[in-house]
Amino acid sequence: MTAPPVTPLLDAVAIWKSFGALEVLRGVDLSVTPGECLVLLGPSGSGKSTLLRCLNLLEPIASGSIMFEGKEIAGTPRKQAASLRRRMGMVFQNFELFQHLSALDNIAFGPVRVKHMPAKQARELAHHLLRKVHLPDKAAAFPDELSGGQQQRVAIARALAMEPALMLYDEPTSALDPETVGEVLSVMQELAEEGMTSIVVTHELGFARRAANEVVFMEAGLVAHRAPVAAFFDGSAPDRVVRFLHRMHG
Amino acid sequence: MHASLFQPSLLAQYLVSADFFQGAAMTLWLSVASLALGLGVGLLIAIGQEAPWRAVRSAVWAYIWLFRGTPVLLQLVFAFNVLPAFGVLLPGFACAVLALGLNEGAYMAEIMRSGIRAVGPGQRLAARALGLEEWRVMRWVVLPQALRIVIPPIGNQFVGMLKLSALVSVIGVKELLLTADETASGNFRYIETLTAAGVYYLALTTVFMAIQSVIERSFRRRPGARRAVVAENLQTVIR
Amino acid sequence: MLRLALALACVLLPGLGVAQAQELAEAGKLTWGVSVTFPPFEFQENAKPVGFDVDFVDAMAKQMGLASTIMPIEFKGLIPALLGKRIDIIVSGMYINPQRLEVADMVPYLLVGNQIVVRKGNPKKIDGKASLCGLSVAAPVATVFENSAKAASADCKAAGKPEVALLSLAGTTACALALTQGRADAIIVSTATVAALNHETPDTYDTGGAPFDTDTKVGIAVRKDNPALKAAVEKAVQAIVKDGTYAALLKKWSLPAGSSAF
Repeated sequence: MTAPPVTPLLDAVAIWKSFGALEVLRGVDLSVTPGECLVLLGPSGSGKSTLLRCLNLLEPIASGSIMFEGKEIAGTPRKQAASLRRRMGMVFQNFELFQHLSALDNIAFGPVRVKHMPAKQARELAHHLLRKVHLPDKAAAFPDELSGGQQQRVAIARALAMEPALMLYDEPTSALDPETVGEVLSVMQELAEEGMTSIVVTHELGFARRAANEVVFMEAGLVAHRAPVAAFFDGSAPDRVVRFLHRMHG
Repeated sequence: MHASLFQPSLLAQYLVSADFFQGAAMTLWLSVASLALGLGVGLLIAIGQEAPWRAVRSAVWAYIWLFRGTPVLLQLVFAFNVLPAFGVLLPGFACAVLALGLNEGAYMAEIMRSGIRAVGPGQRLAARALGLEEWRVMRWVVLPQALRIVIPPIGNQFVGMLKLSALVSVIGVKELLLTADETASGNFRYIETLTAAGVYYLALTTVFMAIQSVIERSFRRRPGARRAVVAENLQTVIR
Repeated sequence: MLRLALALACVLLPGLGVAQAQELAEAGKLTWGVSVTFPPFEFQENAKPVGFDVDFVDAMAKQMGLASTIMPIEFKGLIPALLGKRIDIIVSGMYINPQRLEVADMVPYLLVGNQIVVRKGNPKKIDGKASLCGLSVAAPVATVFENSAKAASADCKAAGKPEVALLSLAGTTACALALTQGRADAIIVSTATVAALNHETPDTYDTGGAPFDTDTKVGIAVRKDNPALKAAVEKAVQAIVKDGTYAALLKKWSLPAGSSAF
């Protein structure tokens, strides 16, 4: 008995995007089911980060379809796009915490400024999320007082504060010192294990092996290979993928 | 020679005279009013430079070009002597604030634009990723950070305005320099009158530089070292 | 070598303003300071300074064997420029009064009176200085007119009436503009200027009372430490009066009867 097909939470089909004359995405398909953790691998310049930003409409696409929570969202006008992005959280390579706000205020920012939540309630939520990312006593700290790993965890909490249906991670540990990479990846893994649907662009193969359900390999603006995680790493992937993995010293 | 070159007692007399004090008060009042107008106009212009509509951006560009490209004195005399021909007869003080304020606005716009640009694009991206609308991004993420960055250059502009206000003496506004001129016109004691005016100007500018330091320090949080370097560079925005 | 040094000296020394019989700002030139804002004595016409003083100094310079070199300066800057040796003399319709005589010598060359000028129709019904209380007067900085307005204001205050609002501008023409714009209710000018203003822009002005201080002398200002120049100036003036040039100029610029100081 095969299980009935699960409706994807997000289903992107035939995404094309160019920056001027440069074609960055050349017909990419990507889908993720609820609760799934999908890791996106590939050499730099393959379009991974751009794809992520197209999925939450930060970047417009030239053509293609993006179904999210059962609705077509590609081509949404700017104004409505903002409210759609509340349903997706994004974590950036450079953390991008708001420099003029404390960690607590960074996390409470979304609920207060976007959802108009009362300040007290937002602060309680923020404290709860700080505990969740294992930084309970950093509420009053400002970004320039935190290490990279701590900032990134606050950034994750900031995204979680909006209670998104999908988390998008754009190379979350690439800018971190090796000592702090682990603390961020373990938070991400915990969230994935709790059922947070995630798409993670990363070079951390260890994380992919431990936390991912599916791995997608992109190259030159196209999806070159897609497989469940076990199959991806057992050597049955195409040559170029295997070569890439060797270069990454998984 | 009949009279000595410099009479300290006369200088002291001028320093405590009601005339000079009122002149200094007028200089201060002019500067504050013009700077306030300049800040408001500058902020509007800086935001207008990023507007999505071509017409707004062109108008803003033309404004900056006009007010940075002509001498303040010309703008001042224009407000005083030419506007009445178009039916706009403003008293001297209003002409002064109008000309100085609009002129200042052009420079403030450049300063604020640099401040806004200095707030990394990633900050905007992160705010938009949370689902914030464009204008709220500007209001809650970009401007608060930009304003902290531009405090040193704005402080400089204020000190500059205190000195620039001396120009309005040509349209008969009774500020510090005109007071000194008038006093000297009676007895030709230029050294004492101009020194007295100079002392008052120094007092005003020194007090304001001190206030600027206090404000900078009182912002407990200054965005990190990178932005402080940008702020240093912005200090070289001169007219 | 010596010839070269001598030649250099002849070229450079005059440029350094080496003292001659009269100390001049620039050798061979009579550098005279003037605020070209006071018709009919000096004013701009077709972008050139013209007026009684312009012709007067031209004639004087010719008598003195010097080139008339005009240096336009704001009125309030004339005495500082003279004391600072940037100019040799001031010929700018400058009234002789005790304050000026303390810092410079003055050679009289004209007699004038003062008069209040108002907009056509005299809307504020001004008649003489006493009626200026509570009104606004525009006067050039550092002039006798400004002092006159201040004195009138002091008189008003002493009489328990509101003071005169004084608008201090650069020159008489700026004050006339302020009057027509409505920024000022009245200006004070010389009697000769009244005629010139009416000639230039008829139907714009009226007088606000009879002339006063009609025995005011107008003089050429010279530095006190330059007696040689003062003597030369006096001599040149006498010569111009004697040969009829002076009288002809009075006529040319329509100065009122009784303007001659001689």
